[in-house]
Amino acid sequence: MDKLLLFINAAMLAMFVENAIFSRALGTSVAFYASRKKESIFGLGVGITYVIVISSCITYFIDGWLAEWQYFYVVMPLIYTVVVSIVYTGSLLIIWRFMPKIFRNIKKYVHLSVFNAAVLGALFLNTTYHGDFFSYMGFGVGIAAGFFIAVFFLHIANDRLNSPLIPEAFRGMPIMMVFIGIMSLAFYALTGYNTGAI
Amino acid sequence: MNRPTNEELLKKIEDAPLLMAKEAASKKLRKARSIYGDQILFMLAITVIATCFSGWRVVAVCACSVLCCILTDMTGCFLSKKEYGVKDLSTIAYGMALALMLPASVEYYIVVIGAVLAITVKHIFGGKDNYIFNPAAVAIAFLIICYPTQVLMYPQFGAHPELFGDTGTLVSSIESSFIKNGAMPSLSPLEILMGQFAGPIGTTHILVLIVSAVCLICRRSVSLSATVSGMAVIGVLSYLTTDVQPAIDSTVFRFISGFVLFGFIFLASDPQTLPLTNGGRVLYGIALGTITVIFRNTANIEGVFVFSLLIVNALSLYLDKLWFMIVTKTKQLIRYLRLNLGSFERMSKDAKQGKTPALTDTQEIMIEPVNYNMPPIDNKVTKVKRHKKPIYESISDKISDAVKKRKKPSAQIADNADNSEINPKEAQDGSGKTDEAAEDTQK
Amino acid sequence: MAQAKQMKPLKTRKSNFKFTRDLFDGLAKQNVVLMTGIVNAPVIIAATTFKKGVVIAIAFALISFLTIVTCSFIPKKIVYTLRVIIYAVVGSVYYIPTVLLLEQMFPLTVELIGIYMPLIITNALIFSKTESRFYLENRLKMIVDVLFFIAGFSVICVLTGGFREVICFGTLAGIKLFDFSIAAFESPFGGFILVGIMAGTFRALYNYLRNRRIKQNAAQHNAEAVKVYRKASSQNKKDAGTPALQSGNEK
Repeated sequence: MDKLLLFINAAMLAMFVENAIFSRALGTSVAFYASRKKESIFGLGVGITYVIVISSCITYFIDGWLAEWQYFYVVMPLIYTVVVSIVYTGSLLIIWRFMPKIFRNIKKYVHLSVFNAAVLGALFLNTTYHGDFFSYMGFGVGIAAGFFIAVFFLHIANDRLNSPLIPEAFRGMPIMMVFIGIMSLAFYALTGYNTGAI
Repeated sequence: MNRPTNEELLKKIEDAPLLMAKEAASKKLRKARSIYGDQILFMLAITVIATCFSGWRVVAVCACSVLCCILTDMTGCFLSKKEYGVKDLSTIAYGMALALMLPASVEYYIVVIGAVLAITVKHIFGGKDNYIFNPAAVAIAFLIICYPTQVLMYPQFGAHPELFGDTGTLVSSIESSFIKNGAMPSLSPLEILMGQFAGPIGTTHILVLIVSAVCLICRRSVSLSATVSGMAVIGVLSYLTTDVQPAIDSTVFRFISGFVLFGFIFLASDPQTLPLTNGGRVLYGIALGTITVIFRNTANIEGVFVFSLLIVNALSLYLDKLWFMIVTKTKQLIRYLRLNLGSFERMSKDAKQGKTPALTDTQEIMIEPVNYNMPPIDNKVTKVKRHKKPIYESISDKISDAVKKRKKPSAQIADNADNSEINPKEAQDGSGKTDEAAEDTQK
Repeated sequence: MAQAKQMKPLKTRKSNFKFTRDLFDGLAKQNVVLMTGIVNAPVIIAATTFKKGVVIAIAFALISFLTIVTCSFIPKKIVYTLRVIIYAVVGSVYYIPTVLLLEQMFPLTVELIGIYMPLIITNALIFSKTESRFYLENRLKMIVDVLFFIAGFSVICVLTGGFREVICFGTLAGIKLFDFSIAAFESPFGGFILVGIMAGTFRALYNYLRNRRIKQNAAQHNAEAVKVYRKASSQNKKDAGTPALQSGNEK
């Protein structure tokens, strides 16, 4: 039960307080791409969740082993990149061998869901928070879920954000940035702020 | 001209019932101009009462906010080459709402920043027909985070801050002391109703707000479904999750602090950001109430309502569709249960009334009608994919075929043997064959 | 067999890059922050002061340039799904000397930037722009093009950092300018809104200048066309012996 609570706490923290897009701007370009179609939201969301969770489980043991080393922070990106690459290659091989139809559908954009700032950022944040194994997993799931929530908000606002009523200069990326900025303002309240008045 | 693709056409067909429902709902709604007009009227009444308690600075702050909103709107229309709508009262409504959520002692430059930001956000999102977030809520949320000491500190009740210059001693709100110390304010019901405590200009006069809410609901300028559902959710969740006793006092306190009452009346019911259908509005109220309570319990900040309103404004684009999906799926489920799980007597009764196809002595087997002469939608001949059997099925078929083949010769011999035995009936009556034919068969 | 070979699709694509026309794409038309928005996170979250902006720009320049140039030697026969891994590993390898160098020069700033320093490895310039643009050009053009793209990012990063430092703290590069400050603008929402408004303003300016250039070019082109037509028509009249057309009949 304690482990489950740790998992849920870490997931909630990652989903709302450390939201991948609204609080950390991890993977915004991928989010813009994914928000256009419903199928890509689901596909990228599943891909990102899978890679983050599996990689988090592996990096937990690596962090435990190498955390004491003074140059760990320098080689950490290389180690994490290798871990993500192994997970990516292994999964692709399995899908290619046993589910060739799915492989043909996903091979064009699978690298987007693996090599992006959200995945590596989740692993770095896990190391920063340095919880136990269930916290690592929960944080990974929470980051992916938070990414999915942000992409969902972008998707449902897509029609309004691409409307011809918006000034031409702001149509597309700029208005999406402003939209994410206002959502980030709302989510910022969750982190609490020192008003000085309190 | 580009012809629409088949996918776009199918999407239009799928969305058609939802669009028809939205159109039907929008026809029943009042015009936005009259809604804003009503809101301005009641906000003016609140301003008059606030002026009696807090002095002429209230009028100055409101006037400054409204003037800046109008000037920014004119500039925005000029830059985007649109005609400035004099009859558009939304700008004045946002300006007044923003001013009434600020303290009477606020600096004028902060009012200017808030007003300019509100109308700029409205224009960036495409003007009065396309914005997603309530501009006043965006502005006040921004000011709360950027200028907390100026925006969250208020003059004492009854103090009259000067028009220019000294604003007197400032105190924190009752919500702030609750968050800091967990202490409930010791106010009598009369003091609460008359707004005899420190707070923003327009959110403390609870009696006036209640009367405004009732009048605006009667005039259909405020959504009854969104307001009632939102307030109910806040009440119930606050009652269940509070640590402070008595719980009812804590629940009442939740309503009178943090822009909740004011927000439901003048911000949440913005006709542009509100869902069109009644069901969507109920979901809107539920989401707003839930997120407000969650923010209150987890974040421990002041003015939580405006932040949750921003999130629900973004969500409200989907709530009509969600409600429509819930209704259609529920109807489909009920229809399925009625057709497939009903008793034979009820189904025969439905058949007699003509609701289902007529039943015979043995129940008819329903076959889905196939239109053989229906032309394909996209003029393309699509191959029907054969169902590919899973491996275990094909293997089991092969095994059963092999077993049958092995059984066949022995089965034939057994059959012949059965046939060669003399049928006793035939022995009595004769098989109808002549003796010569019988000899032939024996051979 | 010969027919099958003829029908085989082309495996190599050629670039449409023209040195004179597309040289400044990275700075303006396809700026990675303001126009295409493919590299955002470090600018929005980490570039909150002028110094941080400079450090991020240097790190981005070193890692991206070295990775793109090194990976241009990887044979294209390797499937893209595997080449992507090599790009990521090469980027991580170049990160090591970059961060050690910057730590020597700006120790506190590198620590404040935090996780956004290693996240430069996963920037879209390395993973998507290489395949769609850089590796279709010859090496010299590619190097110049990459430099301009990196310059475009660096300018915006430093400008954003400086602007935010002025708004948030009233200082620039540590020098106190005035007392006015909005400290909360350092938060992510400040970065998003600022980059969004900057992008919109930049696009409006770019569109205005482009339309003005098109109008000027069109007017110049029309004037030249009228001259050519008049010259041709007068020549025709001389040859045919008919009176020249009056200017009023010309369109």
